[in-house]
Amino acid sequence: MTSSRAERWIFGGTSALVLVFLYLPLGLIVLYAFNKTNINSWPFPGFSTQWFDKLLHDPVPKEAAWLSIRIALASTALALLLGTSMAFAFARYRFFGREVVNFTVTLPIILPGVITGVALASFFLFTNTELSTRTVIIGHTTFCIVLVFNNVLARLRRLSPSFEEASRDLGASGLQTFRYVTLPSIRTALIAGALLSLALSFDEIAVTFFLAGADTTTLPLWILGAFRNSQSLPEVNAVATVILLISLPVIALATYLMREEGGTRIIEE
Amino acid sequence: MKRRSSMKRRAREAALVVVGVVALALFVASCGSSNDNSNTSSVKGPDINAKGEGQLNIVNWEGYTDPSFVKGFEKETGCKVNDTFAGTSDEMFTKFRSGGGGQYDLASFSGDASLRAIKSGTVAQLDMSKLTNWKDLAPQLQSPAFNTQNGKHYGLSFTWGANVLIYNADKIKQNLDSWNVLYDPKYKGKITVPDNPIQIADPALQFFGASDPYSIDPATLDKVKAKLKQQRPLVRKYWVLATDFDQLFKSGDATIGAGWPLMTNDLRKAGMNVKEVIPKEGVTGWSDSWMLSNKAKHPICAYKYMNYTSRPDIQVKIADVTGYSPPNQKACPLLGAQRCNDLHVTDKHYYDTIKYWETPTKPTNYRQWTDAWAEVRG
Amino acid sequence: MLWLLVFYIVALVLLLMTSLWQQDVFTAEIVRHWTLSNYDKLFTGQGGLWLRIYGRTVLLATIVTLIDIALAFPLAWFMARIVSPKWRTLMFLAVVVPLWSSILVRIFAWRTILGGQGLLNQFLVDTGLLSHGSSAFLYNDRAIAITWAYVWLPFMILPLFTALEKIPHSYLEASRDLGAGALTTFRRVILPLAFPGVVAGSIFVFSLTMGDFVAPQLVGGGSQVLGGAIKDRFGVAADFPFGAALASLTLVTLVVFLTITRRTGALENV
Repeated sequence: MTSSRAERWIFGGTSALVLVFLYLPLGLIVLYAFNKTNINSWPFPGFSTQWFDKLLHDPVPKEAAWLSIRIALASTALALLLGTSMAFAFARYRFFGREVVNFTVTLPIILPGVITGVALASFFLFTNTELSTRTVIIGHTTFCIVLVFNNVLARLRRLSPSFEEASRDLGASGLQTFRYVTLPSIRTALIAGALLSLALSFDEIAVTFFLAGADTTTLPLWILGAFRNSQSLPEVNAVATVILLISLPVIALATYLMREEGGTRIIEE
Repeated sequence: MKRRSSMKRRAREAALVVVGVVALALFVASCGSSNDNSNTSSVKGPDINAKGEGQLNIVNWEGYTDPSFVKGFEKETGCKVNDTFAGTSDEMFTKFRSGGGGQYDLASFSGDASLRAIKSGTVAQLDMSKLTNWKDLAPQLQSPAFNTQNGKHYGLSFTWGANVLIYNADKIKQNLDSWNVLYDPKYKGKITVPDNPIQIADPALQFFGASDPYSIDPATLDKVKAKLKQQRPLVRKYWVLATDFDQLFKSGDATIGAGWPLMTNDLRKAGMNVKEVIPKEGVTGWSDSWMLSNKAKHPICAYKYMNYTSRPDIQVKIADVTGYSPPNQKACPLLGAQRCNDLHVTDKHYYDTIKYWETPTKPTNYRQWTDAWAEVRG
Repeated sequence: MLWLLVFYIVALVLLLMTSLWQQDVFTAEIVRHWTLSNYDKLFTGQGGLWLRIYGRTVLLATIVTLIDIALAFPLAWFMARIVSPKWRTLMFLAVVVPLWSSILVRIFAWRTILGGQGLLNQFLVDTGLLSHGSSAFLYNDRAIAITWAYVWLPFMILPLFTALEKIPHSYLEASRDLGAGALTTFRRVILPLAFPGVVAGSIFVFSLTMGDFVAPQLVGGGSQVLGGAIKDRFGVAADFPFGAALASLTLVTLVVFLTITRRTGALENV
């Protein structure tokens, strides 16, 4: 398909500016991760790898990162289970309260984290439930479910149930049908939902802020705490840079995986 | 025809679900129990020579769990310290009580939260016989009213200090000595003050002659509010974190402000030429206490930390980090005469001039202060 | 299977109920006497302070959403219709990557950009547009808006890109064949087809800005926004019931917004 040169230049130029806008803060973060001093002043004071050194020997942010990973994995696993079963129930059956569920299921992701956070925190306060990793996982799962649910439901709606019927007709059990017919066809929807869920949970701050216990220091919470301490400030930039580097291959892989399916349906409404 | 009946069905479904959910919510709300005010009269502290529980959860102000002395503690006792910071006493109190209490073992309550903690039954009585450095504390700090009630001790006094005037001496050449400068349009856009409703006490004390700036009547509160609203356009930012203050000064966005000696310390360490002043109109301040949760899960570690941080050599380290005044008089020789003087460790007269944070209850209460502060910020 | 959702809804209802109770100022206990005093304070109290805060937040959220639509459109169009498929994937990656770096750190970086001696000011001074650094860019509502527009931009680009990608090329050709100029084609073919993407993006951006408390604290000045006010009432200035009232107001606003957008059918584009 052809587009005029004028079009290319106008849209290309604007796009470049927007991309610069998107990457300017990131560039600064990576730059200041190599800051010689601990003062984020401009112009750049000078280069040093001391913060990466410090990070290497500092167990606290590593523990925080590991906790964030564990929470993300747990929330995503729960979300995959619950979200997929809900999507199936929706796509295949009519049941009581269906419309209400359809509306409310999107709430945890539509509502800002602060509302989910204070609502659940109040609930735990009233039931005298101690805040801990478990409460954070519960909080994260509520919005992770939506991501899986939306993606799987969108895919199911496009799939004809006749495949499953045919499988059943040919004598396969429910479980076999699920394993050999249904699962492969929703595979990429599951991957998309799982990836989004992992990403959102790992970096989540609003809900986590209200549901974390004394020893539930996730990475974002550690970062928030590090902001209060002028010594740790540049180490935070180093942490952010490391996260970026580690996630680059992951996202690249995911994107190529899903582009294969034709069309990037990361956010399937 | 079909649409109307399906809409009716949807409405009916929705109504039933709503009723069910509300019923559930009411049930949940009713089963929440209120705090048990179990102030047990028995004050048997744990065996402080026993092995610690391996962990300690603290909510406190910045600087009270600095690695420079916490690492030594963790090595000595095996108690791993998890610290959480709070920006205001309210925040500290809320965090302390969250999830029914027991989340945190220790909190460093200032005088404006300590009484609330005692009254609400969330803190335990302390066994002073187990607190080995207690007798070495300055006499006025051993059983002060803000942590000792009816002879019962609920807290171990910790550091204290004043809310001081700090300014960049490179940018502001003259010697300042009055709080008026924070309201002077000359410094417009270069001022920073704390984002904390308790700040209302400052103008009350400094400009409206309130001898007890925490017991002010509604008329005075209104006057203070008006004055603070006048100040609002001059303020660059209301700082929330101690590092906010530091960054504002370091980047030149602010050159004058109300802060803690902790900031003076940090800025000087970063090579800045700042001056710290106790202006002539008087200062508010804080006098903190370590308090132990009634539901503390790690009482042995908690007592160990209280003992550790009240040791003279550790008190010196804490003063190094924060610039606050340590309560243990035996820290004086270790600080050296100059610093001991500067920090007024043995100067009761100086200690008495500071108006320490208290919870305003009457004639105006803290909620009224919070609302007034919200109005000032807009 | 639905238990988690029920639990969530119960928590929300509990929040609403809390807004009808009160909290003891001294002991912080929740006193369960039904009263409308929190809503009275919200709508009429303190000279309309809370309504002003609400209005400011809605206004900022709207401005940020519009800015993001304006920024996202050219990029999404370029990605969806002008570049080759290989570049398309790369650019998609480029848009997604910022989301994988800590949101807190990205917001914090704006202090270095907007500060009195920051990047922006240095640039303006170097190019002679300003004589010295201005304090007008940081620690105010403007800074919050810029930071918000930056942080949520990918959430507007992605759904818009998806929607634009789906427009069949034949539609555009047909429109041209029928004699429509670029503007007409845009107005009558592209815009309606892109609309669901715009709506989906707007829901995210509007909602996220209504509730955020991080950016206002890090780059904001004195004025408060809803997210920060709610967080404060559950933490530094304990008044849970009033915080719940503020949260309920936010909740209702967003539910209304969501309902309106669902009506447009924008979310049925499966």
